Amino acid sequence: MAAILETIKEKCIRGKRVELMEEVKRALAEGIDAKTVMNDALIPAMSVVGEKYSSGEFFLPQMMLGARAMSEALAMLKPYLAQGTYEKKGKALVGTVAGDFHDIGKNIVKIMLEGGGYEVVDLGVDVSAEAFVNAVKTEAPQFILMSALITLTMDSMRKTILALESAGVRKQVLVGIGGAPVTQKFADEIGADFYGSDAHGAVEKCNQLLH
Amino acid sequence: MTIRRSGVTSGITKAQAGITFLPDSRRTEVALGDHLLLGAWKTGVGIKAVCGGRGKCGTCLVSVESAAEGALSPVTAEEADLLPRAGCGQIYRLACMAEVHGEVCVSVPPESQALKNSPRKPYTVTRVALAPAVAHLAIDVEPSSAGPPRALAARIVAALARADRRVASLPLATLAEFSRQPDFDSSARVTATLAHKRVIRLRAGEARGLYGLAIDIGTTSMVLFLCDLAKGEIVAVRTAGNPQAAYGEDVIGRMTCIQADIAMLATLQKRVIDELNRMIAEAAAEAGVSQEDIADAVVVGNPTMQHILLGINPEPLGRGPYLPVLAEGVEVEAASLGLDIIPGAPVFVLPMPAGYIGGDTLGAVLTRGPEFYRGNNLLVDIGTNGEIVLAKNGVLTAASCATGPVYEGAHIACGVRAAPGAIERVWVEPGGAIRWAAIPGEGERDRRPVGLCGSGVISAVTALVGAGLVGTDGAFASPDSHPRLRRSERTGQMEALLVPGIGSRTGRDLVFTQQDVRSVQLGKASLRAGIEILLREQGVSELDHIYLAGTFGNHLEPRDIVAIGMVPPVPVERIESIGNAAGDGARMALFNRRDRRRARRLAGEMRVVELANCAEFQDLFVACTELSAASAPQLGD
Repeated sequence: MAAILETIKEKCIRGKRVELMEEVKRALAEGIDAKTVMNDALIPAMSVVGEKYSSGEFFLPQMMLGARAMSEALAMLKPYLAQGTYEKKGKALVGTVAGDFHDIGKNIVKIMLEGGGYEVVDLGVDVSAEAFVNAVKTEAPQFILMSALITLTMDSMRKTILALESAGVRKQVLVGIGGAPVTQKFADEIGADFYGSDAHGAVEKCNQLLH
Repeated sequence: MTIRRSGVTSGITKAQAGITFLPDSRRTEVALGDHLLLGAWKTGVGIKAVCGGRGKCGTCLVSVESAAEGALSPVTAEEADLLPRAGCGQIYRLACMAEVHGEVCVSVPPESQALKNSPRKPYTVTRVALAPAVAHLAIDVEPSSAGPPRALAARIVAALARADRRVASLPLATLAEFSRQPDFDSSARVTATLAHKRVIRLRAGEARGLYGLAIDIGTTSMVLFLCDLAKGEIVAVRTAGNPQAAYGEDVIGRMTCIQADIAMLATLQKRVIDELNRMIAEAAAEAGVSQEDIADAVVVGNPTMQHILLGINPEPLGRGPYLPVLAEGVEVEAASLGLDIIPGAPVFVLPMPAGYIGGDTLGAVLTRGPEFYRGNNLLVDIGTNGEIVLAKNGVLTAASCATGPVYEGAHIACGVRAAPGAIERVWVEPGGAIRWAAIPGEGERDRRPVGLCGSGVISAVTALVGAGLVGTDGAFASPDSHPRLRRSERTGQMEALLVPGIGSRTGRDLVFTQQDVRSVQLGKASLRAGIEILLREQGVSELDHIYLAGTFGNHLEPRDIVAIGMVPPVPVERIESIGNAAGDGARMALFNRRDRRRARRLAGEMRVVELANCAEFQDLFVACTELSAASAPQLGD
């Protein structure tokens, strides 16, 4: 059993989507529990992809391919996962802030979070403070992760946090921010709960804060 | 950016501290707690701050010459990460992070100085049909003794009418200026200088020379051509760094500066105009031309530069949906901008097709003749942004890609501007030795390199990939595959040692890092994905020609950019560098007023594609990071 899980993990890290699906099918046919496949092969694989990305060994294509292979495999496993066993660690809202249309970084964070076992609601790009507030009310997430890629739109992060405060929902969520121009210092200044230096870092921070 | 805002706009007078910047010995005062960089901005000391002063890039490094205990805030962990390792007894700080709490003196080392020397910006001379927007007209004014007594202005208007130029009245400024000239009312022969139907100058006697200016305001550098409008010739050229660079390296940096304090808009505008006036005076002196004979000007620039020149807040250009405040081509009088030429001279600023495609791109398109409109041709202007214009059988589509300042040597560990001492070419010999060539300095004896400029960066990537030291996925080979490959102790990332510290001017190792390769990949992927989207949208599978414009485009090896897939694979002989095409386009519009109309028409016809709205952009962008000459990049299975 260890051997096939190892193969699944390897295929997922390498982003071999088609081969990964075959291996997952084979594992299920051999009677390996879907939950084991998820917890002992897929989730560890995503964590390796994240580490390799952070160290510079992997780049966007490898990250994207790995993440896509992973989400397809997860979708295949879903029907086999008994009710209740497919528990999510937590729920997160992701979005690029008002005035900013940069999509890719936010999407990678989304994929990494999903790979890390979170339920993710993607609010898209150019998300107004109001839209974040409304989504907090309707989705009741544990986390909000905001992305900004331009210095000029970083201010929208501050405005969103202020809007959460005036709507009285600030204490219900943990706010994380990230993106190329964003720093820990800026996070401290605007009263965000945490800063993620990259997608992998963001997921790690969420994990730490859950414990 | 509250830090900066609190420093700049506070109305309350706070306690001040003085900063002296070496080597220029410029002194300024800032409020306690403000950053060194703010002081540099205030005095116009040019310090590189690629990230706009956010403590991200480490380029605003200064060395502390003297500071009392506690005069500078302690080094934070974030700052320490970006500082060079301690050594040679120097204390280094980042100007954007060190807060001033007392009198200090800092020195700005050469690698941190924002560009001062004139960049290399050649130009191409194209023959144009002369039809300037301004003209001299000799008129004969009736003497005061003839006929009923009439005021001079009325007699001039009558003389103009006899010469078939009917004007209702003379502009007051023109008349008043004329009245201050010697013998203004005793000469029968008067030369009127006309811009359209407006009399912008009157002089007693025969016509003198008629000159005009073509100006290209780049984010980094500016070019000014003084032209003889009667002969259709360039009589002097001046290039200079854009002095706004002291306030932010790129357009976003400038916008950030203005966002922090709207009063900075006027400062930035004035800086550029002062510098232009200096260039005008120099050019006029060189050519033996009087500035009073300069009657016209045409300006091109990117949207931000055009906005700032006109005193318009460029902020809306910096955030989605990236709309200009003013897109139309405008004509203003020189006096309203403060340009030292004939006060009423028209200054025509080219229209901008979109918030991220400016008059400079339009100028580049203007230079293309009929061959551009036959078949499928691509014009690429590469700078901090990459503008691309596709002409498919004469139908123009354009897009702008954020290529990043990689191509100006920024965001690169050892990146520098294209100036003497910058490595512009790197190659790996068959035996494996890594070689380089730097831009020679005039009369400089020190031949040691300072760093890599944009073309050196692209050359380095091409060479490393070609030699197998970096894979087509951008990852470095293992450290034991080549003696110059190693893992950095500080960052833990792979790097190639290009020049050991002993052979470099900074005394530090010149390296090309894993992060550098990634920056190039992002920049080139953005450009290539943009090109692919235009090609796909227009159903173009093969390009006839690629024209490379802009300083950077000028110095690239077509072979290199095809090899790493920055542009689609076309035979290298069909890739042509067209120099500073934006400036050439401005000159065409100066020599021929019909080209101004053509510019307006092109701006209206050009369809601009917003790449962020294209569903396939993300996948294409990611696929285009591959460093190979693929014809249709696609994300693997």
